[in-house]
Amino acid sequence: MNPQEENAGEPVRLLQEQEREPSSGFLARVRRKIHRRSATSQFAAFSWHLPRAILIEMISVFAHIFSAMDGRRKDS
Amino acid sequence: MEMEPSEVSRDRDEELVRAAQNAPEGDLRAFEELIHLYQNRILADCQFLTRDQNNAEDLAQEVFVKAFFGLQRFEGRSSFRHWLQRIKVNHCLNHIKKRDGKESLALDDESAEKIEQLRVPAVAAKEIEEMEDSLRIEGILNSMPATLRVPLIMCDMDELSYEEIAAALGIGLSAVKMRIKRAREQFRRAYEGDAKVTGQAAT
Repeated sequence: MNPQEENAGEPVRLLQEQEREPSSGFLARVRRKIHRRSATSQFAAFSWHLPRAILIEMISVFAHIFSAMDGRRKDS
Repeated sequence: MEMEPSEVSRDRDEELVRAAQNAPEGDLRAFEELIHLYQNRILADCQFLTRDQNNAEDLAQEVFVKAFFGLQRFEGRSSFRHWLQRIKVNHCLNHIKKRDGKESLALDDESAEKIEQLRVPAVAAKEIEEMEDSLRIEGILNSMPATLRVPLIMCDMDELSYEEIAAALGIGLSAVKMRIKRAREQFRRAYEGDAKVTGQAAT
């Protein structure tokens, strides 16, 4: 016998059978909360990635401009 | 050889957990199946642990939301049921601490037991008379002080080990054992005493 069950007599074991019926919209509310939180985390991730993507694009644009200017200077 | 019912449910849980982990984003079907399996149990636990009928559903919902977002980290070292119980216990204990923080009655405060013993049973005893078995158990649990009720529920409803209970409550192992022993005695006395009262009333 599990040592934790040593003193658990009959009425105490009834605790294991205890259940409560949730209201009818329970599952829908859990679903909504999950969707809402997923959307929030996606938005948070997007708002972090967007400035980073813009910065990378700008750096690559400047790099192109400078390399083009350098090329022209060499030609002339 | 036939499998034990607990083994069957464990296998089913594992299957559903795997399906939920591998499901494409937005597909909650497997997880909803798990919610369906455990919602009654988790709701009862939240209600009994916090003694807060109004917020029990919100707490149970939060437990499932936390479980969903932690599911990718679940490695299956314990059963899903046990993992879910641990999330629920931590969530409910945080709720109790936040709620009772204002009243400055800590869960491990022995004086809280005396105050609650004075405050609750009169109401609970009156309510108990009209309750059916399940509600009678709820009434008895509600009449117990948090210092005994919480370890009892964690041990005999959630089936957590003494070590896990001690860690969650931040008390020693011997204190946990003592409280569970006392809680079981108190629960048994109240249940048997109540059964006698109900029996006498019926005759």
